[in-house]
Amino acid sequence: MENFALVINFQGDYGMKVMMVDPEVTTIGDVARIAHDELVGVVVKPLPPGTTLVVRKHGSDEVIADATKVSQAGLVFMEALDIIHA
Amino acid sequence: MAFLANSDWYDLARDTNWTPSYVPEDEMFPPQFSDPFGIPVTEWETFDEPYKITYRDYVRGQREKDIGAYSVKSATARTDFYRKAAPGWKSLLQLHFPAVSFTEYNSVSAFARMSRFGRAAGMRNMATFGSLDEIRHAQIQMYFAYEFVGEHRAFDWAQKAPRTNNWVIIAERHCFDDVEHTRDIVSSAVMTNFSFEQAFTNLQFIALSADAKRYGDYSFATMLQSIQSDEARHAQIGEPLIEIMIRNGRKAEVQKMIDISFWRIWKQFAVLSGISMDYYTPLDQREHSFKEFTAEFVGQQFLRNIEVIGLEKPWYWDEYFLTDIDVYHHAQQIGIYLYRQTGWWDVVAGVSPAERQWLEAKYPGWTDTFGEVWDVISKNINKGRIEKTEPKLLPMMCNMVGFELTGVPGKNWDVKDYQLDLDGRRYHFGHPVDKWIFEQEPERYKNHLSFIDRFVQGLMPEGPLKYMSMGEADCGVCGENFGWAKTYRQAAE
Repeated sequence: MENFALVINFQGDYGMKVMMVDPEVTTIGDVARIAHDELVGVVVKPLPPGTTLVVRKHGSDEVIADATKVSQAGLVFMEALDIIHA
Repeated sequence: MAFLANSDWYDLARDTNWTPSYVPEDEMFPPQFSDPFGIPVTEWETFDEPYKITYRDYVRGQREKDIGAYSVKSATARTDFYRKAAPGWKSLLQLHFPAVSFTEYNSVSAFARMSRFGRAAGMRNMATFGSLDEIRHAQIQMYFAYEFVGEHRAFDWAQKAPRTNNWVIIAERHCFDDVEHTRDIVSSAVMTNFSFEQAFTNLQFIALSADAKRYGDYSFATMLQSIQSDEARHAQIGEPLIEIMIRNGRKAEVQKMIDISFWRIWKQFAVLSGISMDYYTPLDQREHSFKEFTAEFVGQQFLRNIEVIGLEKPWYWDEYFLTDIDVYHHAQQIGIYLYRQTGWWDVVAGVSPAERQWLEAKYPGWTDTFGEVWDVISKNINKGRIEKTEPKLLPMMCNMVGFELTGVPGKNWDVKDYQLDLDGRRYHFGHPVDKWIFEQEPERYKNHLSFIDRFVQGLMPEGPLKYMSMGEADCGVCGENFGWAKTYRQAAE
């Protein structure tokens, strides 16, 4: 059930967004992909070819592995995530 | 029959303090309402309002103002003007009346509390006039809005807005309830009369009035000026209070009141006035940019008032306030355009090639930052991808301001979230100052739910629009039907 809220800070966007996910199903890689699909070409210009996105807790330098499920990533409800170019 | 000069009797007649004999003083003036600072009543009795007026003169003056404001043009002429107005000016009027009218009406009770609980007789007198002023401001703005109800559904929101949970209204209520309505009357008066009215109402009622006059909307200009003449009078309640507070060792407390309220009100006006001046006012009729108006009315006049009275400029002035003037309303304008369906007014983009040149000249760097987002939006419109101009992800909102949590997009991307964990809940703030305000009194703020908090907690089972009492007909659209983006295609061709 998509009842877990994340705050998305996508590189290039003018402000943060809210994404509801199922924490038991959705991986961090899924979060990056959904954010990319919803924001690039909507508020962010197309990314340069070959751009890879990484996800980390807002303000942290530690990248969270793509395969990690949201429920296992040590995130709180309404955690803010930076999604930035690798 | 000879009359005494006002100065011969005014101070004596308005000195209505007496020693109560049927109830204790503390029951008549409960300290939590009247004076939590414990300042002796003899000190409050030194309150000397700089602008003295009698009821007879007040009524005469107000009557003349009303005659002036209501008679500038007939209702028919005003309606004709509206029909012919540029889309941006229509947006401005549609935004202004619903956003402002109810805050005026609510201010009636803010002043009434000062009239009831003020320890200084002069303050009570001034505040009584203040209540009457705010009744007039609510009435005149409702009246002008009502004339346009047949022209556009947005004007119905002058009545409807305060009874909804529209996200803009939630943010306004949170701010003005904090500043005007939920503190002792000394704090409320300092925050309302000094920070709010001396610092910022000039922006909406003098600066915007200048734009209105240049645009030829004389009735709107006259109405705004008429309101501001009252604001300028009753705003004077703040200064004598501050002088008494400082004299009685309460400088730190009064400084904090101003630091909190100045920032809270700034954020509201940055959106309301900033967008109106820099995006909605037709380009060739703009008197100054929002930044220039802010520099004059706030950066010079208000700062001078602060220093003259013996206080310091807010601690965040240089580092945060001056930088916020360059960015905050530009980011908010993008969000308001993209999420236009959630507003009651029809929006305009205000970023045609000529307008972009003006924005870049007034705000160097705009093109590489905010302009980049508008490039994406205009390209989508010109490719017929209108659905891509409305993001599916909802915006995050600041837990203090209640508006979108924004920063700088594009090449100089800089969007930060200042977080705080309390009682198992994570709070998000768009700015260090927002977080600082929360930290001053967490008990005051911690239970408030922003619009987005209500969404993620499942309090909108029928969806955000229903929650905001917005039927299909209430939802905002692009006021230019996307015609502005075609200018890009033409420029490219």
